[in-house]
Amino acid sequence: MIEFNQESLFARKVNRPRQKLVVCGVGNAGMKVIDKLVLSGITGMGLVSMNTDEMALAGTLATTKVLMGNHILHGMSAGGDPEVGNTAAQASVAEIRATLEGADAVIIVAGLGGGAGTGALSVIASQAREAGAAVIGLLSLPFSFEGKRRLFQADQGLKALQPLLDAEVVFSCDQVEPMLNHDGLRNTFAAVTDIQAQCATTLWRLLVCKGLMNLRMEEITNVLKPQQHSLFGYGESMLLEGRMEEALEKALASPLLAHRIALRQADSIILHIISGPELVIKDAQHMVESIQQELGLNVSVFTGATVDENYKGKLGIALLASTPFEKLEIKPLQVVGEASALGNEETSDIDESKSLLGTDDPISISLISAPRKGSKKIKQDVFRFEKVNKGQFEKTDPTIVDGEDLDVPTFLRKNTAMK
Amino acid sequence: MSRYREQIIVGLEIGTTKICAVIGEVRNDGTLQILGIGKADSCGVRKGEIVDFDNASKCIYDALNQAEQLCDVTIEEVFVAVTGSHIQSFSNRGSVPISGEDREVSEDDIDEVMKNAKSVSTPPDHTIIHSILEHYYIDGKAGIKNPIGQLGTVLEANYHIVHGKELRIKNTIKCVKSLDIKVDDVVLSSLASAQAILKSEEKEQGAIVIDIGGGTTDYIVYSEGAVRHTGTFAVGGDHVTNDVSIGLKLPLRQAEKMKVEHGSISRRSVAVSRTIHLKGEVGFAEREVESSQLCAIMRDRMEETLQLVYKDLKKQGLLPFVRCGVFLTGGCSRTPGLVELADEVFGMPIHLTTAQKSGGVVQVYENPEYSTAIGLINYGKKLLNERDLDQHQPMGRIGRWVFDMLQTAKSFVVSILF
Repeated sequence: MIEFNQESLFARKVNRPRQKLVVCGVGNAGMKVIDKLVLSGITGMGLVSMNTDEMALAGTLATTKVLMGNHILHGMSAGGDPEVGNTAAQASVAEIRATLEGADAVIIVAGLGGGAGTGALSVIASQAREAGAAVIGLLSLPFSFEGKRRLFQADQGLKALQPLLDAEVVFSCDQVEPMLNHDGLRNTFAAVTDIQAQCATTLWRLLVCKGLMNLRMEEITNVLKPQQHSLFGYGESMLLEGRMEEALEKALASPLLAHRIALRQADSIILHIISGPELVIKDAQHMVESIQQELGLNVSVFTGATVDENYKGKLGIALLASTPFEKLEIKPLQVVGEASALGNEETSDIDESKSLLGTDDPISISLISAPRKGSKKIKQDVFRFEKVNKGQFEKTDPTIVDGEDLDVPTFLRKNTAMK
Repeated sequence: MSRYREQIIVGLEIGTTKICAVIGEVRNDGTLQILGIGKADSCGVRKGEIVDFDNASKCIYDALNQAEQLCDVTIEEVFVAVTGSHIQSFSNRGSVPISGEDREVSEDDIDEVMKNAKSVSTPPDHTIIHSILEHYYIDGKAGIKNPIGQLGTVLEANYHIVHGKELRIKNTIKCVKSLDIKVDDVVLSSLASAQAILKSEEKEQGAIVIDIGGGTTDYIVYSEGAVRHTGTFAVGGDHVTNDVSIGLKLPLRQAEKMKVEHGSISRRSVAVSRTIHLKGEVGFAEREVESSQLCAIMRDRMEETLQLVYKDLKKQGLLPFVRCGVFLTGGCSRTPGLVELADEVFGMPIHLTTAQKSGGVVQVYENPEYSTAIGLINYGKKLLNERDLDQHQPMGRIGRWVFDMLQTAKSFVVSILF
C-alpha cells in the first residue's frame, strides 16, 4: 500500500468509492467554459454557473445556476468592479454553499480581471473549503491589450484567492496568442475557453472517470502547486501508427508549455492518456518512457489513463505541470510595477528581486529564454541575404516541413560559407 | 493458367519538367512489350500539380500524340500518375472476429476485415487513392499472406491508405479528359515507380525507392512483399536549379544549364574548384563561376532532401526492415555524386536504377525519367489482370476460390490414383 506522509485531504472520506467533482464557472468567461463542457456531452460532474448578471446567466446551458447578489444588484452586471462582485457573492453565500455541498473537489473556472469572477472567487473558494472539498483554480489572466486596470484587478484577485487554493492552473491569455495569428478576437477568446475546458475535462477524467489508471487528489495538488508557473498541453492524434508520437508532439507544442523550456524545469508532471478500448497499459508505459526521454530522467511522471468508447481510434494526451518561478530562467515583465501606480502602495517597497522572480506576479509572464551562456556573436565571414529569397517559387504554395520553408534555398537556411 | 489478352496499356506521367507517355502491349504469354514513347517539355505544372490548365493539356496532347505516331496506336485510355505534397498516407488495421463455427477464416471474413480496415476517416476534402493490403494477422500472428482456411479467433488486416485532396486529383483527371481520353485509374507516382524498378524478391527483402523528379521527391518502402510506407516532399530538381540561380545570381535558364553540364554533388567536387566560363548571350553578360560554389549549393539541397526522407523513415521505424537498400530513380538521380551522398545519409546499399528490362524499345528502360510511366503500365497490367479474372468468373472471388479448391481436389485425386 502506498502511504502518503502528508495529511490526507480526504482523510474523513476514505470510504467514498467515487469522488464527486463540481466545476464552478464564475463570471462570463467561466460560464463559457461550463457551456463548452455541457456541449461536449460530459456527464457525471456537477456543472454550476455563477454570475451576477441575470441576462448572461439566462443564456448559459448549465444545469445549476446561481444568481449572486440578486437583492443588491437586481440581476445587473457587476460592471467590472471586483468589490461589487465580492459583495454580491457574500450576499449569496448560502446559495453558493448549497451547490458545493458534498463535493470532494471543486474546480473554479474564471477569467480574472472582471467584476463578477474576480471578486466572487475568494468567497466561493472559502465556501468550498468549508464544505470539505479540495479547491482547484483554473484561471486565466487578461490579455495585455485589455488595459492596466484589468491586469491590476486580476493580480489582486489572484493574490486574494491563492491562499485558498489546493492546486491551480493559471495562465495569461497572452500566452495563447502565438497560436492564433490572424484570427478574429472572437476566436481568440474561444481558444482560451477551449484550453480551460480541456484542462477541466482532463482533471475530471483523472479524478473521477473510470479509467485504467486514476490519480488521487494528493498527487494532483502535489504537481499543480499554487503560486507557480502552470503548464498545460493537450494533443490528439488519429493516426494508426505513430499516433503516440504525434499526440505527444502536439501536446508539447502547446503555447502554455512555452516551447518546452519551462517543462524541462518541472520536477514532476501529470500525464493523462485517453483512448478507445484498444489502449493497453504497454502504450502508457511507452509514453512515459518517451516523455522521460524528452524531459530527462529526473522528472517523475504521474500517469493517468482513461478508456472511452468515444475515443475509439483516437488518442489524446494531456500534460500538466508547474514550475516555481525561481527555477525558470524567465523574468516576468514589470507591468505590475506600473500598475501599482493605480493605488497599491505595497508593491513599491517590495524587495526588488522578489518582485522580479516572485511568485506573486504571474500577470505578465512572458517567456524570454535567458541568453545562452557563452554564445558568441557569429562572425560575418559568410555572406547573407537580407531578404528571404524564394526565386521561382515565390508565388507557389509554400512547402513547409517541420517549420522550415523548403522553397528557400538550403544554403541560405544553413548559412553555408561560400568562398 | 494464362488468361491475358493482347492488350494496349498506356502510362502517362505529368511531371513538373516533362510529360512522359509510354505505350505498352501485354502479349498473350503475359510479357510486356514497350511499343512507343512520347515526351514533351512540361509547362503549367508546379511541384507535381497542374497550375495552368490550358498549357498543361497542350503538353499532354503533344506527348500522347508523339507516342501514338511512333507505334501507330490510338490511345483511348491511360493510367495517370499523381503526386503532390497534399498526398498523405498511413496504415490502418481492421479487425473482425472469425465468424464461422469451425473458426476457419472464410471469404466473408476477408471481405469484412477489408471493409473494416478501409473505413477510415480522412480529412473531408480528401479522397482515398489507394488502399493496399499489407498483410493479415490471425490472433496477433503477423505476416500472413493468405489466411483462407486457417484457424483462429480474430482476423486482422493492415491496409496502407493513401489519400489526397480530391479536387486536385480531379483536376489532373479533368485535364486528361479534356483531350477526349479516358482515365482508367490514377496511381500514386512512387507506387508506379516501384512496380517498374523492384523485383518481387527485393520487395520481399525490403527496399526503399526514392524518385527524385523535377518538382517532387516521392518515396515508397516495401518490406515482406508489401507496401509499408509512402511519402512525398514537394522538393526536386527545380529547387536545385532555383538555389543555383539565387546563389550564383544567374537567370533560371543559365542555372539549369550549369546544373546539367557542370553540376556534381560529390565531396571532391565541392572541395576542388575550377573556373567555369559562361558565354555571353543576349541579356546575359559573359561571366566566370567557381565550380565549387555551384556544387556546394547543389549538395546542400540534395543532402537536405535525402535527410528529409531518412528522418521520416526513421520516425516510422522502418529502416531495420530494409535489407536491399535504396533504389534511386527519377531525372535528378543522374546527378553525379548522388550515390556517394545517399550512402553517407542512409548508410545502406545504394542502387542507381532504371526500370527492369522487358521487351521493346530498349532506350526507354535505360532512362530513369521513364521509370514511373513504365511502372504505370506494370501496375495497369496487374489491375486489368485482376479485373479479367473477375469478368471470366461471374462469381468473382468466391468463384475463383471454388475453382482453386476443385483444382486442389483434382490434384489430390490424381496423386492418390498414381
